[in-house]
Amino acid sequence: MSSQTVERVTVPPTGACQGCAMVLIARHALDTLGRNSVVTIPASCGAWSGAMLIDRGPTQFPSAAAAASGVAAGLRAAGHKDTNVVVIAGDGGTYDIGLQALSGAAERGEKIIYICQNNQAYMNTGIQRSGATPRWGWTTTTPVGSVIKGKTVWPKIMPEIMEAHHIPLVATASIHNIPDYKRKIKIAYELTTKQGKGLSYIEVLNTCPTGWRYSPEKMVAIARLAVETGFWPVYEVVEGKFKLNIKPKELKPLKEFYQMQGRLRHLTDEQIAETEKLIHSRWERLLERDQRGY
Amino acid sequence: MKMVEEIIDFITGNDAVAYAVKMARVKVVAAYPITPQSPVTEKIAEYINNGEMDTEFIAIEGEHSCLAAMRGAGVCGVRVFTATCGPGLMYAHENLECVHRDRTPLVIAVPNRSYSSLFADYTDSMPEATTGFIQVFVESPQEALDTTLQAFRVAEDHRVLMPFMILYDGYVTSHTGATVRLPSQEDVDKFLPPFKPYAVKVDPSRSEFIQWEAPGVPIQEMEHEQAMENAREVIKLANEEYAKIFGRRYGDGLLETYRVEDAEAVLVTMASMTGTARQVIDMLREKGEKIGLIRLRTFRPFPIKEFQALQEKYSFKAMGVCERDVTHGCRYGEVYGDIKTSLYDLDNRPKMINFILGLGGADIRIPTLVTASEKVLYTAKTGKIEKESWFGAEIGEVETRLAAF
Ligand SMILES: Cc1ncc(C[n+]2csc(CCOP(=O)(O)OP(=O)(O)O)c2C)c(N)n1
Ligand code: SF4
Ligand SMILES: [Mg+2]
Repeated sequence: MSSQTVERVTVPPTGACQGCAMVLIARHALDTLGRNSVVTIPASCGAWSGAMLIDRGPTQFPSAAAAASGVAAGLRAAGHKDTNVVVIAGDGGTYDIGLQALSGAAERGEKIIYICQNNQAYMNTGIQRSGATPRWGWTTTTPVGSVIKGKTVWPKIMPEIMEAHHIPLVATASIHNIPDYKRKIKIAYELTTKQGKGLSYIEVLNTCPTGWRYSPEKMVAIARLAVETGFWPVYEVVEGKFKLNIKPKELKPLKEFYQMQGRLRHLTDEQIAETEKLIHSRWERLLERDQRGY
Repeated sequence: MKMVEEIIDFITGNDAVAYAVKMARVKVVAAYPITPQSPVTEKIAEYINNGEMDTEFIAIEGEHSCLAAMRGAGVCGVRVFTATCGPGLMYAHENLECVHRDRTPLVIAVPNRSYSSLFADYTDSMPEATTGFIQVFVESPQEALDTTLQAFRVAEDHRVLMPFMILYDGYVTSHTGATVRLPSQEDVDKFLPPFKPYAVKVDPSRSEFIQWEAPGVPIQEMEHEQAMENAREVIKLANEEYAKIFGRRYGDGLLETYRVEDAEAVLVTMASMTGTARQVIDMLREKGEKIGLIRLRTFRPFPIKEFQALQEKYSFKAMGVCERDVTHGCRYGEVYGDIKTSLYDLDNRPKMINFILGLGGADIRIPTLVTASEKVLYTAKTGKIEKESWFGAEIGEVETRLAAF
């Protein structure tokens, strides 16, 4: 990242579906960080994010954070300073199969900017459930059958798992507020690349029209509603300081958000109410933390 | 070339490898503990923390990640090293498979460990026989040191650019002290110049972005085969160059022979069992038996022509292949299969018997090798084969090391 002038490093076109939010997530991260970056993208829809004018690190699906640790060490050994070592991984490559590598890298204090694009399923292999899929949500491995309808368990709260690693930055972001996302990328640059304080973790909700079963032009509206219902709280923990970045006065009914998506439309009112209860209690907790400041 | 006097020390195979890694001025090491490999990386960590090595050390959280990190560091164009074995090697398989595709000249030390016990057999490294690693089996701590230095030179040669595995028997070689000559930094620098990458794939200081183009997989694989062909010659060259400076050579680098002149029967051995086998050959020679020994040092690339040349030269009537691995469902080991394939087209090919010994780290002792030799001699004399393959347990091998911990 040099001066104010942003030089694009991502190059259209992409191979992603129409209205794919992942493209925005990759683009704004890399264009903000600039040419002095190396990016590692494990198997995921991210592989379709198009050409980039920066070097790519090699990795297999489960080991993105480990491969990036190697790139970081290799670059240091080769005498490169101040290069952003970036990972852009899916929720499967982060919450599930890549969790060990990520946890290890975070604990070791690797200077990696790790971005998780969370579309709440394994989209690249055909919309299978992941550790991030919402409870009762439809995927191809949690079908809505006549006996069992959708996923039967709650998703993990990955950003909180990352917080437990004492890393300089844990943040969530939403593609309906790009300036907030870019600001967080810049914090990551400052803390991870420049000051060498360890791994920065930014997770963005990737509102995937293909897997979520909605029409692509509603992408931004869906992303906004995810935040306004409390389904996707946007916050940051910068060196232990907590801030809830988007605070709607009152949370909108979750049903509004769920009904827009084919994957969640089949939920009963009781199931939505139970989910909402969980979301609201977490929201209370986040508000308290926001007030406390940590 | 005048040599700085070598220090003579009494150290283990693992320490010998670590010493060589230090002398090779490796830039990035990643590793994860596993018995009997751990002392290699513990020693390296000690060197680094005592300021004797200027190296990035990634104490990583598993071997799958370890090999991923080695790939990541490798594409930055620096010298890289790791060590693992047994379950660790198997766990890393997905990323091991990728190293040769990057053409990263990674060097990896493997004190062989069975997948069924803590002790040596080759069931851990044999699954990697098809991954594009150069695989060299060494006999002693001294050879482990020497081969580690040669490994970087061979792997980094622009005609090769393939990763290199140094294999030595867990515990027997990894943990047993031996007299080892430690070359000086000055001499090592003469033998092993700094790493000159052919192409640095990840280099953020380039002013222009390079779009790397790789040929399709069928062509890549063909190129890798060519690289392995080249490796055969480069290993031989490194063996000779090394001998010029340090006075030590290991056969032609691929195979090492012992008392094969006028031999009608020959044993093929690998790694540490060879010492015992030489004794057996001496005993039988004293009794007037015409028997010799070939030690397979380089397993990948396989010394096809070299085996053929030995056969053409000595016309062995029978060959007994001793190895610590088995391909279940075939009742033979990888090495037996490869030698048989190599010699099949020769008119004077020998009769062949396979001895599947030392599985799970069972000791390979003199009586077992005597029995094996007698079977090969019987075949050489009569042209008859009682049975094509024998498990150690069938010819008196004692189960010495059933690891219960
Ligand atoms: C070891 C291994 N197991 C499975 C796969 C198959 N695979 C490739 S991408 C993928 C799903 C990726 O899901 P996610 O990380 O959420 O990214 P998305 O496709 O949703 O963007 C899977 C299961 C693989 N490449 N490697
Ligand atoms: S499946 Fe979803 S995340 Fe993947 S490319 Fe299509 S819209 Fe994007
Ligand atoms: Mg996903």
